[in-house]
Amino acid sequence: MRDPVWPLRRGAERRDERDDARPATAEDLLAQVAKGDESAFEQLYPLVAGPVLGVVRRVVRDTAQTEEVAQEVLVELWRTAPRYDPAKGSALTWALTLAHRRAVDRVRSAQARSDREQRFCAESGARDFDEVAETVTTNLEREQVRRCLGSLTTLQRESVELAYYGGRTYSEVAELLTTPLGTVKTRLRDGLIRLRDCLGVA
Amino acid sequence: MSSPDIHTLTGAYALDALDELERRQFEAHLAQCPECAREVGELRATAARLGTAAAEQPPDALRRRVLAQVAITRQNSPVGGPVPAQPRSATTGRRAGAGWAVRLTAAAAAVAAAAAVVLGVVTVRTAQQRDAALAELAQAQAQYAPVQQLAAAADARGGSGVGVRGGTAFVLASHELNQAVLLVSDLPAPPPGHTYQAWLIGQGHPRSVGLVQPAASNRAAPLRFGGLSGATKVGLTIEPAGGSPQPTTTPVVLFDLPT
Repeated sequence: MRDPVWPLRRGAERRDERDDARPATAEDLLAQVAKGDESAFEQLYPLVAGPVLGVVRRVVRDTAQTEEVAQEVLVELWRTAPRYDPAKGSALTWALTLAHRRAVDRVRSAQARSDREQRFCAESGARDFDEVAETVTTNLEREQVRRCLGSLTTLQRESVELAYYGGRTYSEVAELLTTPLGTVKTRLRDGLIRLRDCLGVA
Repeated sequence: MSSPDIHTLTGAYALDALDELERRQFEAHLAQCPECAREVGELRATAARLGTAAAEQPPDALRRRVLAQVAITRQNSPVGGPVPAQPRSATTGRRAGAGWAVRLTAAAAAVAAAAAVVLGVVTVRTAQQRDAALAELAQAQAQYAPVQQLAAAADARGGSGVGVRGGTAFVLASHELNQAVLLVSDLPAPPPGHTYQAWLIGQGHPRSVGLVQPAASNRAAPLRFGGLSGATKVGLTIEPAGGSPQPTTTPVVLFDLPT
């Protein structure tokens, strides 16, 4: 997946040895990082740090914990780079998979959970997608995702948002939406499939 | 979990919405279901787009902390079992005796943060890139003969760093010739009785490659030096007039020696 939101900066213009005409992609850089190349990591950083921080914040919410988790994720990206397999997805997908899982792990620990339940009650439900989006620069990617989320049924969209941005398990989603478990499972899948097709994810 | 509907869990799995037990069960299933694995891959990529849409500008302090920690973190083996969880003590772990390299990397991050710019290294490989590098050199008074001679080398590479208090340093290096030149531009004048000193940093102690005294024009003459083997970074520190055998301050500019 190419990421139009975080274009390569000047520092990321390092060229791949196999192809002089092509700027280094995040995948090229991650392959270099896998060999212990710190300068490649410095070039990769601006391509992934913003999305990683954003994902973690959506799930974790607490500012201090968000930065702590984001830091763990970015260091984990360095640490686990030798295990990255480009056949299984883009570098950004890999980074955001690490980020989301780690954020979810954090909020599902017992203490964090009880804190969150209280907070969640106070907020009376999932946050609307627009609420956080307004704090960051509007861009094409965000518009496209918003438009595609809008193309889902309400149940699909709410299920996907609660699971991804809320870090909820599908049984929590089912309870929050007072919908049978099996229905939520299905809506998560067909909602994502519809999003996939709308976003043109290969 | 009954087998017929396990496929519908691809969505919940891609969104990390399974509890721990179900996640393990589904991963066991994934290993035997290439079709599920393909779908999970696509749905993960889709979920990542939701993540990209939530991107925000990360604070400079985060970059500084991450790079400092990366400098002291060993990478996993490329082979072996699943990636183990990171130890919780990771943010406090410090390897004893890591010495200069660690402090320099942290300093590099501080440089970047203070200047609010990313330290950039441009690798010169194509004719077009070399032209760009030469243009940058021209900006930095590239009329000097040693610079042009180096720039003509087949393996000439350029790299630059931004000073913590402004200014830039630019190195053009040829490992074939084992020669490099350092040019600085717009560095603030060092305090009275002090000078900038340039260092090559690799394994072991930093090696002084000479003093850099910005002239009235804020530009110093190019500093030519050799002995590049083993060096990975170039740094400038402020030292007492006449220079020091080893750096006594943290670098004001630090960047990778182009390779």
